[in-house]
Amino acid sequence: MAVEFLSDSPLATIQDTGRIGCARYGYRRCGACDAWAARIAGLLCGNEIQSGQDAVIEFTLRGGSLRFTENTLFAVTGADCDLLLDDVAVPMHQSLIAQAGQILKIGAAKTGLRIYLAVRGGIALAPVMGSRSTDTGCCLGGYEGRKLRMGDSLPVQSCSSGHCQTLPRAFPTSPPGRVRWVGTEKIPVLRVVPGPQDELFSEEAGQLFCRNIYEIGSDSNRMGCRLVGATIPVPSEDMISDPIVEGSVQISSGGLPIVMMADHQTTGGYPKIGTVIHSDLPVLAQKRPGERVAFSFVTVEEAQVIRRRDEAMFKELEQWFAGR
Amino acid sequence: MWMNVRPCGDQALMVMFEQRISEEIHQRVIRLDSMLQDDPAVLETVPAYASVLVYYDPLAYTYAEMEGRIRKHLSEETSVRETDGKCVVIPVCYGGEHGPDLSFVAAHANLTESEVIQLHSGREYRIYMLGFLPGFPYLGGMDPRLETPRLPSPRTMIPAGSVGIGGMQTGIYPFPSPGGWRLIGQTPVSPLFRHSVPGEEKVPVYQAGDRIRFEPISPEEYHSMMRERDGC
Repeated sequence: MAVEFLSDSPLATIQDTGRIGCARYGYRRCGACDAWAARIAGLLCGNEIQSGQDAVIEFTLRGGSLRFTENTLFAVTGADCDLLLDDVAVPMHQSLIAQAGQILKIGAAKTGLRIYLAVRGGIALAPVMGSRSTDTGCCLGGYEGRKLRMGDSLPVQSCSSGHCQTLPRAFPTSPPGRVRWVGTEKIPVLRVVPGPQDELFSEEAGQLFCRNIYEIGSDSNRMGCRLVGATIPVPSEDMISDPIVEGSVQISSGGLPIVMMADHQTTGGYPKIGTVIHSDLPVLAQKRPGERVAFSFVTVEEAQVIRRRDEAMFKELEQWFAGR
Repeated sequence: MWMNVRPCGDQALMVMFEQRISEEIHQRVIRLDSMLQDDPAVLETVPAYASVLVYYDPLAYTYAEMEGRIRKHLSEETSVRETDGKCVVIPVCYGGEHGPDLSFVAAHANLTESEVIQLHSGREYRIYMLGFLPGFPYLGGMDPRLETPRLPSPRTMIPAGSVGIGGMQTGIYPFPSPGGWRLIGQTPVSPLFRHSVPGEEKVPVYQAGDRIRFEPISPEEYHSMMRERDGC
């Protein structure tokens, strides 16, 4: 059974939790930019990350039309958009069952940037280097290493198992559904742990970095979010290239930040003043060019407390679903 | 010897040695990287010129605990294994259609094309790190006479296997890619090695800490190796 693409989308790719363990060979991690939305979509379908069911479709800005060849359980999360199942409006953030032959139309993102579609069991393509994520830069993984287009047919699991009986599920509006949600703040403050090259920057540079308000540049993409705003003083000395993580905030030679996103290169030569914490990357991933963000520093200890709290919320959410 | 540990967000840290390019410092990088492979608290590492990136599980370990583990590893460094990497021979067809910039590099260095080939192939290069593209090696040890400025504007597409010079560096493009390096040759050997499980493991034939030696081959040899590789 399959999900068939009936239209082209600006950018639709298969993504999962990322290609982990081979950055030492130069492979990019990739994976869903809004890892939380992708994870919630999977949870709504009863998918398990540990069982390799974490592959979803990530749409940027606009969705598309898809046909389910068999009965399929699915959920759509992420940026706010209209959903039509055979021309009948259906809600986001809820698992739904499509009958064989039904067509799902995913509209344009109204707020936010990235939309996620999960199906029961995950998109069942063969993994490459342990991941189904698409690395479009290296034509690797996902669906033939490229973005999805009209006519593509994605293998999915059949929905005949008993699982479909215990579902559908809706995302709870009360706790534990208090997981930080996209689009709630006009100018979100992204929390940044200083390092690894923060010591190369002057104190003034660090203060300006936190005081400025930055606009998402139009040349931002899955590799990096280029920010536009007032410049900060850059270190006078060049640095030796070193590894990069998702969330690394490079300061370009012009004094503007570039936040490394899921498809970032594994190494780079610009100094990194800090790293956006894991919990705030989904917020940035949903910001469109022209929208604004600001930064504030937190200690690594504070960042890890936030991370543990957020993971505990996911755990709670999982249990809440399991108890239904 | 100077070293520093700094956070890279909430789930990774960077071990930084003295920030310069030298074999001695890189040996420390490779030794630490190799020790960390056996540490159950370490999820993934990325060795580079003078630093090692270490991913860990922040739900299981705090930053302070990880920093403590790293410092302990470094204090036990005297008892470590030998980390002298292997030498990988990469056959290269220099010049002609395979290396359109060989003549420019020769003219720039005031050498003949065959002298450039001799200087480029007659030595071993240390692999400091892999990055930019899967399997793209950052090599050290090129003869300074071969230093050539990058193209004023990068080519939009460089064919896979191209061997080039960019400034003081030389390297191999394992994938087709845009790039500004001067292309002096091309290898028929993919540096990405495929294991027996299809689609699963495709790791480079070399890694950081290994060495590369380029071996000149003729266009005939290039084409016969390409035919062999493509299985026809």
